[in-house]
Amino acid sequence: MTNERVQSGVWWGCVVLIAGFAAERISHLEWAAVAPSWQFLLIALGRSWLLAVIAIGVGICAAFPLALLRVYGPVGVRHAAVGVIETVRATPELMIIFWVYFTWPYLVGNQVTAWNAALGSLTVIAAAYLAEVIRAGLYSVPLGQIEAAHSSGLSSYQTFRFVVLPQALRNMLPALIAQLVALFKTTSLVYAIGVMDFFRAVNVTKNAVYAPYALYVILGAGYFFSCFAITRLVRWFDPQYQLLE
Amino acid sequence: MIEFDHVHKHFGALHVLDDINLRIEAGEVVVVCGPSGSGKSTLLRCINRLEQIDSGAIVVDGITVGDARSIARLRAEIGMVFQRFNLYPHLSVLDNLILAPMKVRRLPKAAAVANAKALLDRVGIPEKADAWPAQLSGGQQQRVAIARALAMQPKIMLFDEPTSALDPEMIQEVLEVMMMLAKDGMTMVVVTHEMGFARRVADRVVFMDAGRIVEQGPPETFFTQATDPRTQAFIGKILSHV
Repeated sequence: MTNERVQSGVWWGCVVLIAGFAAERISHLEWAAVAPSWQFLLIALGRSWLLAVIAIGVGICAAFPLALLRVYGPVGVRHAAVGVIETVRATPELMIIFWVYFTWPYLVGNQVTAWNAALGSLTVIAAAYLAEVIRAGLYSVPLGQIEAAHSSGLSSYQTFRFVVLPQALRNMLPALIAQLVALFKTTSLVYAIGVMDFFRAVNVTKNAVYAPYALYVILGAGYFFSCFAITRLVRWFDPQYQLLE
Repeated sequence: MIEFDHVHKHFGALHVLDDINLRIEAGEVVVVCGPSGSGKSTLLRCINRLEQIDSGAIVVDGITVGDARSIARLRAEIGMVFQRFNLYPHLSVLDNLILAPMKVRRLPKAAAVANAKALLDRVGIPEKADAWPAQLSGGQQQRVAIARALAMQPKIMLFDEPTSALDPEMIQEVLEVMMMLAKDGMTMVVVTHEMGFARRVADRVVFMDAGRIVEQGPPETFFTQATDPRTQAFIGKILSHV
C-alpha cells in the first residue's frame, strides 16, 4: 500500500516535472509573432471541422447502404459494392483528392471548386472506410440472435432494426472512433489542392512570420484536441449495457 | 398438429434427413433423441423453417411450411428455445419478453408488460424483470428464454437441447418449467439427452440415427423393449452413464 503510494508519487512527480519543463520552454516561443494571426488560424480550424463533419455525415449516410448491399445484397450488387469499397481503400487518399479535382472537369466538362472537390473526395473516402466498420459490426452479431428473432415471428426488417442493428452499433464503436479520428486527420490532405484548412493555414502563417516552433505546437494541439473531442463525443453516445457472457 | 411427409434434406453430400415421416398430435410431448449428427436438431429446425427442406412436405397447424411470406405468421405460433438461450443482450429481461408481442402481435405495451410479468412469475423469476440477461445464471437465462417464447402464446413449443449448455445444478430448474408446460397441455417437441425427462414427461420418444427415424414409441416400451440394435446401443450408453 505505502509502496504503491511511493511509486505513484514518483510517477506524478516526473509527469509534473516534464510538463513544467515543457510549459516553460513553450512559453518562450515566438508567440508575439503568431498572435495577430489567431483569427485566421481559428477560422481555418473551423473549416477543417466543417469538412470533417460534412464528409463524415454524408459518408455515414452512404456507408450504411454500401455495407448493407455488401452483406445482404444480391450477387451482382454485392460485387459492385465490394468493388467501390476496395478501390477506394486500396488507393492513397491524396490520389483520390487529386482525381476528383482534376478528372471531374475532364469527364464532365465544367470546373469544380477546390472546396467542392475536397468535400466530394473526403465523402467518398469516409463512405468506403465507414462501410467496412459497419460491415464488421453487422458480422459481430451472432447468428443465434437472428434465429431467435426470426423464430418469434419478427420480419427480416424488424430483426435488423430491433435485434441486429443495436448490437452492431455497440460492437462497432471502438473501430468507429478510430476511423473518425483517422478521417479528421485525412482532411489535412486537402491542402494539396489549395483549400485553406487548418494544416494549410499553419503553413501559410509560417511563411509569413518566422515562428515555426510556436506554429507547430499550435498545429499539434489543434489536431490533438479535435481528435480527442471526437473520441469523447462518440463515447457519449455509447449505450451502457453489459454484453452477454 | 405437425406432419412430416417424406421429408429429405442434404447438407452437401450428407443426407441429414432421409425420408422422414412423422405425425405429432396437438397436446403431445415428443422427445427426439439420437447420437450427435443424427439429424435431430435439423428435424426440429425444419418445423419453423430455420432450415429448408429439399423435398417432401411439412404441414404445421394446417399450413404448409414453405414460402417465405407465410412463414412469419406461422413462426408466431411456434415458440423456440435454443441450446445457447439467445437472449437479446442489449435488452432487459422484460424488453426481451415484450419485443415480439408488441412488434408481431401489435399488443399495446401495457398488455405486453402485464403478460410478460405473469410469465416471469410462472417460470419463477419475477424479481429479474429489470435485470440484463448477462446478470443471470444459465438456468435463469434459459427460463427467461422459455418465457420469451411463451409470451407469443404459441400453439407449439420447440426445444433444441435446452439443458445441454447448463451446469448440472441448473438443469433441474429448467426441466421443471418444461414439465409444468407439458402438464398444461402444450404441444412440445424436445431434442434432448435428458432421458429422465423423457421417461416422466414424454408421450412418445423418437430415436434417430443417420438422418432416419429408427424407432419410436411410448417411453416405457422404448426404454425396455427397443428392437433395433442401434437403439439398444444408444439406450445402453445413455443409461449406463447415469
